[in-house]
Amino acid sequence: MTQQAFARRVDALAAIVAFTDAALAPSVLDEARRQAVHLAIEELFTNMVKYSPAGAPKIVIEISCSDGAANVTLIDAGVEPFDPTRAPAVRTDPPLERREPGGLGLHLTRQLVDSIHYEHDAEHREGRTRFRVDPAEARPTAAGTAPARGDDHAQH
Amino acid sequence: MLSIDGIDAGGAVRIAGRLDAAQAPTAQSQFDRLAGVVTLDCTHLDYISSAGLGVLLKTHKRLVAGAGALRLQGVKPHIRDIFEYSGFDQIFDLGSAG
Repeated sequence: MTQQAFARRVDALAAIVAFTDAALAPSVLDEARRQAVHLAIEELFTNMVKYSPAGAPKIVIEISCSDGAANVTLIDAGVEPFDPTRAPAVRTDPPLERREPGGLGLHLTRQLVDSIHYEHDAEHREGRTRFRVDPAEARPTAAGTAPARGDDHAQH
Repeated sequence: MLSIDGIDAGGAVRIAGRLDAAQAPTAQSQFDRLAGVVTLDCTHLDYISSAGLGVLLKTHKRLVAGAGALRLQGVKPHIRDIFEYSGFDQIFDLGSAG
């Protein structure tokens, strides 16, 4: 397992990408599933940054690879509970004139990961978001093929 | 890293690398200069997140309002999946697969 703490800034993403690439080096995930790990980390991290209270410490990311899958934990300390697995569902079918940027990050995360779990330690005001990304061949749909739109398979 | 070429050349605009939250403001400032019907060559676009999708959506809406459009080509399969999950495959002309 590898672990690193990152400043609560969007420009930390470059360092997070390098850290994630190195942590995924031993995994058997193909490019699409690796990008799924990157996307889930980015969306969860930037959401934590967006809602950071003043004085909150750095966000810690842990990554381990086992049985072909990537297991990732983001540790967000000094915060009130926010469960990304319970974020409201988003509609993806409005026409262009009714679409506005934003709101897709957690939706995409839930679509791309194979499991996701959130817990909050009230005593230490620490949230932990854990997710797993399996190899393409272990997923219920064919590699490179998106499940039907709206088929949210996140485990709450 | 992200690179965008051909903004002012009048032909296809080429985008390569990662269009993430850190790169989105730079990409938006460049795309704000586009006009008319624009083809975005995504052959070398390796990654896009929701922030990147927001850049494309904002640009496409602005162009459509002026009787133009943002048309994508060469989209890699795993990025095409992101468009499908987002419903963006219904509002963008994705052209043929990359």
